[in-house]
Amino acid sequence: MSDLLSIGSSALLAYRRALDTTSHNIANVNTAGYTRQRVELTTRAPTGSGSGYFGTGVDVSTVRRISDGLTNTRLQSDTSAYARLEVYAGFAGRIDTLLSSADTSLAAPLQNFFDAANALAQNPTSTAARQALIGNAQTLAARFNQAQSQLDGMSTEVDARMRTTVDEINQLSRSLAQINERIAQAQGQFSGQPPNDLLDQRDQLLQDLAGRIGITTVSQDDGSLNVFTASGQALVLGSQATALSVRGDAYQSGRLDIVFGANTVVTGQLSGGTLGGLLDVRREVLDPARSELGRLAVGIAAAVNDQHAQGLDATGALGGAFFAEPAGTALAATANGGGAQVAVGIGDVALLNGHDYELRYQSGGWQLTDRSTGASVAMSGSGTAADPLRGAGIELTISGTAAEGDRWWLQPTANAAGAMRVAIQDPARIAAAAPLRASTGLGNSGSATAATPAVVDASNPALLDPVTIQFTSATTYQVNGSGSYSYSYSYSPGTPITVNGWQLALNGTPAAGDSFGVQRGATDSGDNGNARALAGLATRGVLDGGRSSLGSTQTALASSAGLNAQQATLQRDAQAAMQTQSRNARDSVSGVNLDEEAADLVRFQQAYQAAARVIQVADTLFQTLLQATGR
Amino acid sequence: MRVSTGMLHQQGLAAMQRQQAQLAQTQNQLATNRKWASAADDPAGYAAAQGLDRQLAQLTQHQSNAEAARHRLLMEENALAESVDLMQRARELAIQANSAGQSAESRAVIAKELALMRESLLALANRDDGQGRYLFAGSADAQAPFSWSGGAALYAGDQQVRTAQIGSARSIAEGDAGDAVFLNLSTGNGRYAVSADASNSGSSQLTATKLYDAGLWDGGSYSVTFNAGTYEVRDAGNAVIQSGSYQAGSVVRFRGVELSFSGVPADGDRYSVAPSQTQDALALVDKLARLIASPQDDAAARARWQTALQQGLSELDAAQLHFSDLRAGVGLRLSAADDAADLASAQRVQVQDALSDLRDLDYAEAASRLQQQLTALQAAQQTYLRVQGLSLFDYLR
Repeated sequence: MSDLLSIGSSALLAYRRALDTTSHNIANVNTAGYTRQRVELTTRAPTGSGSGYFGTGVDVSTVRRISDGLTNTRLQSDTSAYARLEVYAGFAGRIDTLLSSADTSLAAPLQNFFDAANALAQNPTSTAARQALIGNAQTLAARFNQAQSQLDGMSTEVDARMRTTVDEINQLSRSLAQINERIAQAQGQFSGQPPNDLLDQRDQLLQDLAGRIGITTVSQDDGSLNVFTASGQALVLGSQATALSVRGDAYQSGRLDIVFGANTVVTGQLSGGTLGGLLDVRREVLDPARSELGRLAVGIAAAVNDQHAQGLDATGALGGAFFAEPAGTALAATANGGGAQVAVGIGDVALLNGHDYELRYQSGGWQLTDRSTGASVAMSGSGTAADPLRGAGIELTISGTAAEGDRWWLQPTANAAGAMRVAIQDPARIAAAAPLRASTGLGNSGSATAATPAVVDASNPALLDPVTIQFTSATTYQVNGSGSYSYSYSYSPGTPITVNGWQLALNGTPAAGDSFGVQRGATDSGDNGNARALAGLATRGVLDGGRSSLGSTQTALASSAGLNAQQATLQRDAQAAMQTQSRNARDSVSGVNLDEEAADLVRFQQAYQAAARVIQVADTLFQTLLQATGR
Repeated sequence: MRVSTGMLHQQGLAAMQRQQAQLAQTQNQLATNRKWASAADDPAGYAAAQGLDRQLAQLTQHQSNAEAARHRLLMEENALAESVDLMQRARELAIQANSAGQSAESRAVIAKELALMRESLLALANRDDGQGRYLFAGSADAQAPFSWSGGAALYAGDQQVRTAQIGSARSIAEGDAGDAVFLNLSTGNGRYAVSADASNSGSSQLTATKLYDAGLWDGGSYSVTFNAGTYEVRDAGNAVIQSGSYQAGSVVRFRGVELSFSGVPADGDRYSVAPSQTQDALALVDKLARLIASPQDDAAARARWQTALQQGLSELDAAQLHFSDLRAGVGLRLSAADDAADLASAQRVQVQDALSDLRDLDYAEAASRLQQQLTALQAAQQTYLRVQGLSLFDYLR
């Protein structure tokens, strides 16, 4: 009888536990990271007798947490990858929109500028056309400034998000260390029984951490878990957490470095998660976009200025700077011992490649290294203002004395788009006319006529001096550069005559005695030679060694940003699918199914009812026995 | 596979969100008539479209340049046509003045009209382009290029002619410099000029000049002197290079020159032959005006006058031809500008077609896609409701 009672009560107790666990599952159906639990039942130790072993009922051996470590780890790494790509695709998409949407793209203002130059060529003396050119140039410069400030804004945003993400990572590491301690305690308290809900919480914390930074984990015997970054820095060791922090970089460039512990810079080593995504965005998306944008700005300013200097304005002077002269920036390392200052000027825009460089003073010499490729760049010159160090299209002027090992981070174009500005204010100062005009002597007997002289060296001091070319025969001529016919040159048909930085081409055949004059253009000239040349810049190869026009560079900038965004989006979507798959795999094992729990509820209820019936039977048996023996 | 309740919910939700995202994209496409909103939707297509955009802008520039050049060339053509008319009128007046019935007074009236004509020609040469700049001044078009010195036109402009880019490798001059138009005329027949000596007393007069063999003409100065039925030709060094007998109506030929005379020369009558010099159109008209106003007191004076008139008329003819030639040149450039404008316009249509194919939305396709996506979204919503409505707990009573 007591056996029957004790068996019945063991079943009542066990099924009560099972029903509890089922309702715990139902209660947590929507709890993030919850892993379904199941009561594991075992038979009690039987009692032996001569007629065999008799069962003694049921026992709860443990409450099992149904989870699969491998699917959890996979979900962690997929979450890391997805978080990185989501940040990356977000920024790439924003840059794409900035550079290619009709409202913010550079294509329309750039084309408008050249259209305005062409309109000026149609009407070179019109003040309205001149003002329109200045206005369009200002719009173009403003659009560049705007694009730069947008990119700078994104950079600031990346820094701000890096700070908050690092804070979150530290918070999560601390929580993980605490929960490790509690798990170790709990496990020790009840002879190794797992504290399921604490484990769930820890898994959830790990998922959150993996969303912020790529991690690996190692389990310990006491139930705690060590957490490392993908590159091996220990964020959590048992109940100890090590914090990450941020600080300004070695050049005080305004960007942040990530520091592990007291003084280890790990910026270049971190990957995965939001933080990895932010670092990748800065390195692969923002910095190249800024440099390329700046390169385009520098290309436009330099090409327009060069051409503008080869023209004559309405006052009869050679054209001045149309756009403010572009210049790069040099950031001195904070550790520099010397007092040298470096000024970065733009030499040959055709050689600019949008890369950043590192300048180092070593063993009494200067060394230039490409920061993108690590390649060393050869330089010429001595570094003085008259003879700057030249290399990779930039010109470096050094003032002051450098100490051994001093370093500078050179950004030739990264900030140029923000510095783009129209230097010309007065419409009369636009150099629309060709600087020189040729005249064919009226009494010439040959058939040759002079074309407009072409400027080959606008800096020649004698460029605008009046020159008469007198043919002494069909193949020889004299030039009165200094007032007398003192030289005799040989002329070969079809080869232009080069004097004082200009070239004069003759159409037809000159005869002996023919004269041609070259003199500076008229004040308030109606010529449109330079305006046409300015308009022609739209299609001329200016960048990449003269292979790319300004327009095609702009297109390349926008379409590469587009390609970047497209690929990032595709990767993100693919990763989202993988993450969904991993989550489904985890949920498939660990997720609560309400129908299943309902069935369990019915099952355990029935078992409970049956056990209660066993107690009743035991009672009936006992009553029967009492009645039989009571008389 | 085991399915958890949360999974089922997530799956249904994700399906609806996916459909909605696609729907939003189609909606945006339909609203903007563009296949893509930014370069990320089709980077290669975007780059190609930008290239076409630039090509389109170039073609638009060329077309607009050609139209602007056309406008300026038409202004020049008008001025040249008026110049031709002026020369024609001057010729008529000169011939009218030549008729025997004219009195000194009536010739004075004609001379006055010619003098006015010189003023018109000056105004023509100083014509502006409607924007305060002068048409025939080259690049120095801020000031009036021509002025009258009393004997010749003075030119203050230059030879720099504005050009217009009407094709990627094609440009045309938008005009002609004033000196080439109004100054570049020559005296006589263009190779040499003949003048009768002021002391000639015979009735002979020059009726025609020509160059029967251009290869023989050396550009020197010569004189032809008649004496008792013979003539002598002397060069600049006064050496006789040719002589012969002369009868009225016969021609004198030397060094490629052929001179025809009418009337009878008196002994010692002399004609000078000199190489042509440049002369401006204003000076030509002025010379004629002064000639016509000059007195014709006797037959010899009239004969000398008629020799000068013959030369003047041939100069007028040459001037008329010169202006007509220039006009024809302008006409060629006008047709080149028209061609370029037509070509650019035709190419623009092609480029626009290509751009449209590349960038514009296919409405029929997008509309049917929209319908499809709406249906799919509806299906996703209904599926979600049906699946979520199913629970074993509903049956536990």
